[in-house]
Amino acid sequence: MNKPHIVTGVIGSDCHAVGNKIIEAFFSEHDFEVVNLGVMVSQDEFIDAAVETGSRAILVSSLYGHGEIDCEGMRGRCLERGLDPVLLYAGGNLVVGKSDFAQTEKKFKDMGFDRVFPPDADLEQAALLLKNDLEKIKHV
Amino acid sequence: MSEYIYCADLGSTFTKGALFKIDKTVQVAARYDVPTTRHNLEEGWRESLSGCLEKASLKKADRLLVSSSAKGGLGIVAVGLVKELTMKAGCEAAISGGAKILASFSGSLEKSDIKSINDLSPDIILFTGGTERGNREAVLHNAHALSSMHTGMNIIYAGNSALRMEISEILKPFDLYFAENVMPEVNVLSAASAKNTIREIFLKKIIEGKGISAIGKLASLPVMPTPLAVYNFCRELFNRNIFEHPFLLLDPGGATTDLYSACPPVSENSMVLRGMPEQTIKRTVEGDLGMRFNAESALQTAGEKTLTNKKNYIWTEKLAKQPEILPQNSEEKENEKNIAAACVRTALMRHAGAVKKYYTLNGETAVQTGKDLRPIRIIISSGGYTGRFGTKLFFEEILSDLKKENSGKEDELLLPENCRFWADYGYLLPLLALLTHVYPDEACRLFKDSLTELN
Repeated sequence: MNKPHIVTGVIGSDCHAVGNKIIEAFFSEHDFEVVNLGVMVSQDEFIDAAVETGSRAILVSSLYGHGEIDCEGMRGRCLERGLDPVLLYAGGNLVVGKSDFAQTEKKFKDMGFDRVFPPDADLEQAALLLKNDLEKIKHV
Repeated sequence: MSEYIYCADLGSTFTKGALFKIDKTVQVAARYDVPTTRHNLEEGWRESLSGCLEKASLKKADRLLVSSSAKGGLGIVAVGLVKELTMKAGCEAAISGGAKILASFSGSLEKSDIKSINDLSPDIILFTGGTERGNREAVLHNAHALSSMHTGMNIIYAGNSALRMEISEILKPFDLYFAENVMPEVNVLSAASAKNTIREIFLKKIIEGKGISAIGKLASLPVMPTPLAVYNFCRELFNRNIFEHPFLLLDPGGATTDLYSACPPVSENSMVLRGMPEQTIKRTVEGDLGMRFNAESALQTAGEKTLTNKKNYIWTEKLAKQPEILPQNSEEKENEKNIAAACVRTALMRHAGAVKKYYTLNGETAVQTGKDLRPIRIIISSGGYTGRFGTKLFFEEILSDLKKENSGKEDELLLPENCRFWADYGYLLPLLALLTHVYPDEACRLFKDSLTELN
């Protein structure tokens, strides 16, 4: 059976490359076809890659604290481009400082992200969630 | 004993012919150019051939080689999925394969798009979309949309290969060809297979439509699209390091302006690269910039930067009616210079990549899109005004103007700097590009020797 394509990368003017490589390696080993766009990726580049590869999930990383501004409007842009349904995950140091994660999670969910992960998230757990979520939207 | 090879380029404005004499060295034995006989291309070709033979006092040539950009060249419509991905990859493959993009479409094709394609009646439709095992739905939608086109179109499908069976069913009434996916993975360009298929269709079908099948039968090698021959020639010149430096080749023709750059696409490792990787040999062709048929639009595109004035436009009107005329007095020469400058500057700006600076937590980061032309040290002009009358000052002014406009801009173009300028006064480029298929070393060497450095 074909592995599902997923798109990942670090959004905005953020050039933290290490976590990005770990995510690519980890999800590749867990039966995903990872389309890794690297660092400093714009919303449109994520969406372009998802359209072209038929991906049903975009995993957005952000480490430098400006994730909120960079991710704003992304769900709308996906809809605009006909990318629906698609899972949007965000993870990393999404906002500046040490704010309460529950607040950050709510902020991102309000922006249309399906799941939000803190910097210390368990990738095994994330991969499981992703598989289940993909299964759920498969027949939409 | 010497061998004589006659090379001809059936052009849009002039049909150019040269007889090369090959013994220990290669020399031009005769040249003979004629205005292209559009009603019958063979007529002009025969005149050039017999003119060359007469000049060299010969009865026949040992081999005949032909390239053609006549009758508008090879017109392709590119259909892709995402504008910056498969549509761009399709355009790149078509352009480096010697074609001209008549129009390009991305996203879901609509009825109005199909009408446009029918109206354009392209030689080939290059249909792409989806990476390998990637998008299915949108590509199939576009296939269904294309199926309502006028029949008899040549279509190359170079998209997600998993859909080939469905595509061949949907597009059954058309002349359908399959090539490997031009973008197997995101931001990976794979143009070779599509280019070969374009060439195959050009030989099998298009030559006939352009009225050169009779010439093709007499030729010793298959007829080539001229830009493909020149593209291959640039690769040969670059691989042999003939100019000892990366170079740029300018060919502002009557209807289009062609630019070929030969240099590694990235010169600084510290740059963050975005978008599709560029090719070492890159061709761009600007369909709205020309010395004859598109002179007016060239001036308009460049705007006030090229001393646009009324006199220029009187000259462009004349040119549109009588493309083969050459400037006679100083005023007409000045007009011609302004058109050439407009073509060169706009084509350069479109060919060059750009760098944008971002301030991140790690300090300043430079992001490059497109090709870095800064390593270019040699600019060769061939054809049209620039090949005949271009001076060092003419090119230096264009480059320094661009540099001035460019400095301090957010997106800074990566333009050539510190160049030497050479001219191909004899316009041997397309002819040696043909000869290179038989005598590559000699053709490359003769090209360099035939150039004049502009001082």
